[in-house]
Amino acid sequence: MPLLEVEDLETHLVTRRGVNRAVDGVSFSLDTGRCLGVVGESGSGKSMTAASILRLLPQPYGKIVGGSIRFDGENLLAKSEREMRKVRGGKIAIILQDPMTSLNPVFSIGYQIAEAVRLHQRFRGRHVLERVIESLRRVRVPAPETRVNDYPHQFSGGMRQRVVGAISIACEPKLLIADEATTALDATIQAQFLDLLRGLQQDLNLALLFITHDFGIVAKMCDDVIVMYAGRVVESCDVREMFNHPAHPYTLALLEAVPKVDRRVERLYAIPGVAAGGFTHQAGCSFAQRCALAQPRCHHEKPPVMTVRPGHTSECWRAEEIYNAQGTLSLHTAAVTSEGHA
Amino acid sequence: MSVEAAHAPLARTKDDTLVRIRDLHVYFNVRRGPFLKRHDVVLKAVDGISFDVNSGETFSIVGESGCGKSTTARAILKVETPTKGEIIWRGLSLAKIDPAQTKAYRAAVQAVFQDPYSSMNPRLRVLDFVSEPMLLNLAIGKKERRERSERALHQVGLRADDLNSFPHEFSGGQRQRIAIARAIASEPKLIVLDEPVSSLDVSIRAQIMNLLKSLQEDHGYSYLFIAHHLGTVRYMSHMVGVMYLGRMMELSESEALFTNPAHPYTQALFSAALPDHPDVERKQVLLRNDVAAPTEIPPGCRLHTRCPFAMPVCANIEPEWKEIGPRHWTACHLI
Repeated sequence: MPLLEVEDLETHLVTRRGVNRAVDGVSFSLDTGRCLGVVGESGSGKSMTAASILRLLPQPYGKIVGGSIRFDGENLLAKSEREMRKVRGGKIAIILQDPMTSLNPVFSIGYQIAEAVRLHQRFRGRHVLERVIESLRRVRVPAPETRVNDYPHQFSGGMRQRVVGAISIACEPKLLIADEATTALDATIQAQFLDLLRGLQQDLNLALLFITHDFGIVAKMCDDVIVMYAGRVVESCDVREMFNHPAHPYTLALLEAVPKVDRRVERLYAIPGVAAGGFTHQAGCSFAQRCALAQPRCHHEKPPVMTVRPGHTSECWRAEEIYNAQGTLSLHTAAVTSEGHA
Repeated sequence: MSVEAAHAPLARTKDDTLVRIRDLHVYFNVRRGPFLKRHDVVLKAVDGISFDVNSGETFSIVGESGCGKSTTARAILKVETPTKGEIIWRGLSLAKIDPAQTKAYRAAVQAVFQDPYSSMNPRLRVLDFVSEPMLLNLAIGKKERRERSERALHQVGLRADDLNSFPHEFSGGQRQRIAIARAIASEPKLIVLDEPVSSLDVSIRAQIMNLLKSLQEDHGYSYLFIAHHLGTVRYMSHMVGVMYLGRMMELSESEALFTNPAHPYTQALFSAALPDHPDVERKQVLLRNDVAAPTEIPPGCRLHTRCPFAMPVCANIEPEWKEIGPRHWTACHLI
């Protein structure tokens, strides 16, 4: 049985402008020791999915209106607020983008790590301190015995994010959610932190849920990947499958829109228009308006979830065709011909 | 060894050189230390760099935060005054030009910044924002300012009616287009682009980068491009300079640099870049320690405290700036 199983999750944000279907029927599962990447642009619902798992939606707007979240054999949606507090920071930990906002500037980092340990573990007295130092050592903060008494401003950006990492692993979680955890870091520091997370995942047999907009992070870290667009999972597969044989036009377009470090690209493919938000309710596929491969029926009939290969699904009418084209399909030429038709 | 010798003639003297940066230093005095023990220290943000920006080309500066790339850009924008060294604009030294020439210079050099939300005044209409740089030129009347703004907006893919709207009516990508429209409205020669796409979504990034490239092809603008994402730099640049702690480590034509990085710092930077594909295995060049503080720059080669190939000589003598290939320079004792 997978550690985390999300099925048909629907999360709505009720605002004055109407209902935003931030998460609109999302399903995926994650096993212990695996890393799942959730890729998408802003507004695709990836962070709301993470917030739904922890039941930390913005109040009073956010509401989970459908679906189920099973974690470690339990239904998280049936838990009371009191029970959820044991899960958060205990079995499920999260690392957010900006370490300076995650840490409190007026408490020493030792105090902040100890807070988590006291809340979730039975350690008291000097055992707490031992545990704190142990966590700092795990995230390779040099000289942890002396640095426990330092304050966040005494650490560099990369070291601060390690301290946040130390808080999250101090209670031996089973699932670690990283929501754009390295976006604010410099390239060399980012690479170090990602290597560190990879190491921790193996040492502690963690399940990692990596939320990112960066395909480079997916390529480096993840075993499996889901691509989200307008609150839905449009493609789900193994990471090599996604890079080698994408089966959804959105994935294909994103991969062609990113400039490469290792080779020269003459012209990037730019997806026209802007990302659809959760407010718009289209009859057909939500990506159809921006899609270079859209056919007439894409605009009024919702595409089904197509399985192009065991373990590889794509929510597109032309999924099989795109999958079988294996990268020979060029969106540039497709875009030119569709403009010609219009 | 004198600094001048380290920066012997950089590029072949070409007629199409637009800006020449020679031995540029920008130092700041900052206060450090606790109350009662407060003292001034010198922060060397830019510590002697030289390069040329050619007409119609993109010169990119890469490096980690704090390496001085934005300060260099600000010096070229005439926001910071150089402590030492010269910026030469088409044969004229910026330190010596008169107020009238300064005005012309400010019209000819425009900038686009990272965050399209904070770079626009929320109370100005798009027209006011886009036409503001043209106010410097008294020869341009109100009617012409509007016409030019319309043309600029059209060039960046927006409509002329958008001139009457306010910034909050636009998305991040559209705002960045408006910022570009403002930059091109006064028909500049050089546009400083300081991380212009890093706050945008992946699909919008490609739109903006392609727009910048087309504008350059059509109008021959020069760009000074500052970015930390290496793929973006490779896509946009003709020339690339790699900076570390206020100094240029390597300078080369873009493709030569990406296929054959010479300096250990460049190699380390490239090996830390995220892979384009899960099967990519990069040669790992790892740096030790953290970046030194720009108030306490190490003697000798400033990278020696972190360099995996450091030799005894590196701690004492600053390596010379030398040409190692066509339009390819570096400063390292190993080479």
